[in-house]
Amino acid sequence: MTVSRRTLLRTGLALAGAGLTTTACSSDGGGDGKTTLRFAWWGSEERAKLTQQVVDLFVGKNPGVEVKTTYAAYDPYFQKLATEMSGGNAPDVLQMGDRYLREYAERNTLLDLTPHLGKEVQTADLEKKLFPAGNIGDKTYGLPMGQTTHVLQYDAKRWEEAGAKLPAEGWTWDDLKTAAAQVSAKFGPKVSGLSDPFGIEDWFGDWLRQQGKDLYTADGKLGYGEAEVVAWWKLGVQFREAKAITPPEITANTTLTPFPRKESTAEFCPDSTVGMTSWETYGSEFALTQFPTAGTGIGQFTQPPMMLSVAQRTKNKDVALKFADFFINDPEAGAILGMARGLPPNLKIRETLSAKLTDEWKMVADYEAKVSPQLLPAPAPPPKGAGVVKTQFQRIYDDVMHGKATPEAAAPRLMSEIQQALGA
Amino acid sequence: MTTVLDRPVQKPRSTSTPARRYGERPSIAYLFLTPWVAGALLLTLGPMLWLLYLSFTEYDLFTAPRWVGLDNYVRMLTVDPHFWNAVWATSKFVLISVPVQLAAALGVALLIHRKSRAQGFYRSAFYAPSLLGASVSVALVWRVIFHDWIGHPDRALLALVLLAVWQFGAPMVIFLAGLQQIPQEYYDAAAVDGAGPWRSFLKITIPMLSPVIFFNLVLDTIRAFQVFTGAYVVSNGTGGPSDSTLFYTLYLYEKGFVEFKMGYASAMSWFLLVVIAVITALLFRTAKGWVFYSGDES
Repeated sequence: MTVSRRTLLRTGLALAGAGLTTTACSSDGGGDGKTTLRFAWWGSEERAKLTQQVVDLFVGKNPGVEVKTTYAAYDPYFQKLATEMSGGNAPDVLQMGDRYLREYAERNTLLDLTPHLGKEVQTADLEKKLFPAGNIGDKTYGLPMGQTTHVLQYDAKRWEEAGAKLPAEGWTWDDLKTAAAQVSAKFGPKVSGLSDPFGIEDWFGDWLRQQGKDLYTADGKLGYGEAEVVAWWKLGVQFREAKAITPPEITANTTLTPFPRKESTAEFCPDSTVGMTSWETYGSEFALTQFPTAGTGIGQFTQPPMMLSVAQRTKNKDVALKFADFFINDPEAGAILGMARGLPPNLKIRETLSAKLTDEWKMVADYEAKVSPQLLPAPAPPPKGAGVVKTQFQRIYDDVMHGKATPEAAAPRLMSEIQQALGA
Repeated sequence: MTTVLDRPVQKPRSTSTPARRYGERPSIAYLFLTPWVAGALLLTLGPMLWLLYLSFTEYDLFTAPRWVGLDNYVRMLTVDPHFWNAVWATSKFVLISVPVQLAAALGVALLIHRKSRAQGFYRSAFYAPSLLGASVSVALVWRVIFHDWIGHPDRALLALVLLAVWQFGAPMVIFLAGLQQIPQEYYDAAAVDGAGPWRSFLKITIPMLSPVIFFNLVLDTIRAFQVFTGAYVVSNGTGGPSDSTLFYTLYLYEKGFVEFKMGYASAMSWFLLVVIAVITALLFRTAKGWVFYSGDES
């Protein structure tokens, strides 16, 4: 194997050259007198099409402004955002999630919108219950882009075939266990009654609120202790012993959740994602219902699935605020977006829209209208490190699920992880 | 095997070649080297040293790094259970996937080593998975194929080992080149002496190939320690179930880019560098015992 010296040199040069070119930066200065606004968000293809239409509408109405949009899936979006923000290269307007709002706001990267509310950004028609999600103290850093709440979607047809008692107002976790076990008995082993919910911190939160507790207090402290975790996971063990929930290998499969794969007949989810996953599989053969209770009430809150924030260091503050207002309050924009980000936060737009909805979106809107009086207002942004807690909750439950640890043994481990995540 | 020569062979007299002319003016050679040197300093060595500094700080990307001394290293090695889970998962992966992958690569290389017109086709066909190897799409396909495995803590790692083994193309091509270097006369002589195929494989192929085996072993070990894509995609970035696929790089990435703990992540990456360096050194140490270079007097 001989390589001529010349080839070696040439390759070396090419490689070194390639390395150097990657460090060159592109500047996107609008040198033609145009204001260029950067808008970044996460979401699906379907959402992208509608979002782009709204952006085009805004550009059409505002000569001299161009808007560059970028979007990605949730995880990559936040990874990229972290590096952009820290590099001082943030988009002017961006979609923000509840778990990250405090992280970014407290690092002085988001604009305090409080002085602009009711002026550049109108708020009179917006659902008030949604606002706490974007507030830290008396300052607003994120505006609601939609409304969602948790829901149990279930395959009504199979439940009936299995002779299970259908969900009704005031039903309990025991009712759910009995019904799900009946469905498993009828359609098992390939199909289970309920997708295992016990590793997901969000549903644990609903269960806590049914008993007057919560994941976090209003001032960002942990709202539960070891005893609650043990009780919740013990409930999980009971469900497992009754064969009411999906077995571990089905639950842990990451390709899609079990319900859209028809491997379970009921599953908790945020209602803003129902149409994207289940409608294609089931058509109108599934139904939506509120959570079973473990005490008083359903423990569910309303929340924005995502918020709109403006970068603190934006060079185009006026246009950014104008765009934010347009996105949330403009009737035409609202008509285009429809239910792409959950129910519209603007109540006037919501009213106009609800007359025109069909299929899955009608189903979700009807469900929202039904549970709305029982919903608690959105919680304050969780503390820094809350995202890690959610991950650890799932991780440690994995051991309980696989029978490698009892709830009593696993819960202290979770508590020490939480202490590390929140205490640092 | 040395032949005794009855008179010294005359060396051909060297003529003035371009290379020689450059030799008289080394400055030109350095000029040609500058791009590489600049790249190494700016893109490799500089960031590495910066990273070493960061590993002694608390740094969240947004606020200035705060010096914390050995804190990150101490926490890593003493209180963080996931760190050791990650070390364990990665060690298992390296110990299983490297030998199996090398065996597969050598086996297939032996099969298609025989001269035939289809050799080029087979070589490309077997090499293709390695080209696709690091891609997300393959990992997605893998997630679908091993649908029933990836939810199970004992089998999820196995699915990733298989994914790695399946990408044996690179070592295979190197083995092929090595096999073609072995003179046919050795095999002929062994056959005359009555050695069967198995014996000549053990006594000729393996020793003659040992430098190539060693080369592949070192490169593959280093590669396996840094495995990321497959595990990230298959477990949705979680390293689950139960940390069974929490590879070191996956956990490092999570610390840095999900939790914004860049100081901790830097400490982890330096620790990995040291571990890989030590293991490589150990491999070189053992090599003296079993790697045979045909120039050696033995």
